[in-house]
Amino acid sequence: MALNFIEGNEAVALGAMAAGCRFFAGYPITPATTVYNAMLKYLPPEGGVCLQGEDEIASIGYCLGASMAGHKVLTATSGPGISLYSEQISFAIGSEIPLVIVNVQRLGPSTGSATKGADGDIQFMRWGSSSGLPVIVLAPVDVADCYRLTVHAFNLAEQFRCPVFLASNKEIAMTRESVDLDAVELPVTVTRKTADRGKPFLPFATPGDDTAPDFLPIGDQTLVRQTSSTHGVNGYITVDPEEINAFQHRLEKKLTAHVDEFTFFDQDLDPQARTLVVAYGVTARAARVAVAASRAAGKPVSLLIPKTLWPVPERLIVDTAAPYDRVVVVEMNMGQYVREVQRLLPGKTVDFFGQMNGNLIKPEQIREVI
Amino acid sequence: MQSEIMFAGFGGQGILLIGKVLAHAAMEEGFEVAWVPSYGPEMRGGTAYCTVVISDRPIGSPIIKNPLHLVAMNGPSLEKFAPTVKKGGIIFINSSLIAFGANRDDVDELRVPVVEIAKDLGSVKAANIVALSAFVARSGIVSMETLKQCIKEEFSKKPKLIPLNMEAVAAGERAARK
Repeated sequence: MALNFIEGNEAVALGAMAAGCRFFAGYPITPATTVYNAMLKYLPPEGGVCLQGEDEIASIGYCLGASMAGHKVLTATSGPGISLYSEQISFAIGSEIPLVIVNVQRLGPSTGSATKGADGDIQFMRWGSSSGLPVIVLAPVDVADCYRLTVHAFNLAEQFRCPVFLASNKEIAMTRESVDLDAVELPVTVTRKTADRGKPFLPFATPGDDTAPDFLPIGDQTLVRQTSSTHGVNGYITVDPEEINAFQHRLEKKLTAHVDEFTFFDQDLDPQARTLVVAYGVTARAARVAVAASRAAGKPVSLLIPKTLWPVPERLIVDTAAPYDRVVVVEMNMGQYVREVQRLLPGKTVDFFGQMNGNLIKPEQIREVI
Repeated sequence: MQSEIMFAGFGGQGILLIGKVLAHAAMEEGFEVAWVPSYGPEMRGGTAYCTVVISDRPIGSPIIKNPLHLVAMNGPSLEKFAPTVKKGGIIFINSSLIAFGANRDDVDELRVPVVEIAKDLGSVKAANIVALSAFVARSGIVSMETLKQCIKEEFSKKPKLIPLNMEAVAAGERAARK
């Protein structure tokens, strides 16, 4: 067992390399910059491209272009950068361009505090682009998760042809930990399905109403039409309400109908408990300590750590919470994901504890609430 | 068994680096470790802290309310964190910059004028390594051998600085054993 002493951002880069990423573009911003630094170290020796754009808008544009050409692409930024990415994220949603975005969240609003963590972008990542169509958001808890979930993020981006966010946080990204990466179980790498070159190519034709289309790269032998405008299966602009309707619903359903297949989570359930704590990201680590301490003190408590945040893993939350009277959601913000939990659990007492002062939530604070 | 060490001072004193070196050394000795940096947006000045957690089992929360030991490199850090240190821990004080004490009778207070010692060695920049070495020598948290190895690794890209830092380690060790 060889232990590595690395930070979350470097683990993301290693996960990206393991997933087959060969293109990175980004614009430096604390606390996401070290993803770029690490990709600069790993990509060129593998024949990949790693570049700094003139700003965030250009950087994500490069990523979309490289993805349309068939590469697995990664970019990394923080809250202010996600704001600038917004328009191109909706382009990637609408034109089904696979892309992994690491959002190393820092305390906002705006430029906020560059070196303080928060989980303030949880609803923003889901709803921060026009149309309101879904994206996938995965939330790592520690360095090992940064590695493993990044590979899943690439797989999901390829399978569903959509932007996938990794909802990191300064406190995960910059904390260095001892971790045995060889012991982390990685999924088999997925690559987007190539269209049959022998048949006429319709860039947005799908076999069902809940899948992504098959892929051909732009710039190759077959002409591939891409547009950010509302399009039909042939990639041309359409005004046909039925075709538009089917397109919108497919973009929604291709993710929401499959969320059970990529619902990642951890749990620590106690059959004696009446209370369930729900926490994600770095907060889940404090929750784990708080739950163990509470149990040791004779007060049994259970814990659910969702790692797929969007689309909301509704079945996981409803089924896990069923035996409990009270659910306590703990987050590093003023109350974002608790809204989803509340909507799923009418009739249960759903309490919230949040903190957004630049400090991590401590186990003792969680114990006070539970 | 778990120990937590808080390193605290001004930005630019090399606080984060010595925390990282200690965490690395402890990992080399087979422990689980976590290093959490916390600092302001400034490159120099401002405050810089880091917490190192060293444990023989997987680490839960890397953030702790009460560290076992404190390495205070400036006055405000000592004032702020001295009351939080656990009973029986070590409070290291950079006496070159801090004229007062921890005001605790249940901890092991170690005062070392690291700036003067480093100046005598030829560079004030080595003061952080003097502090780290003194702390490690007093606490025995890792062996001096592992510590030296990890410092050499840390400076592997600037090999010119290794002899100076090895002298700093020796000086720190002497100061702790006085």
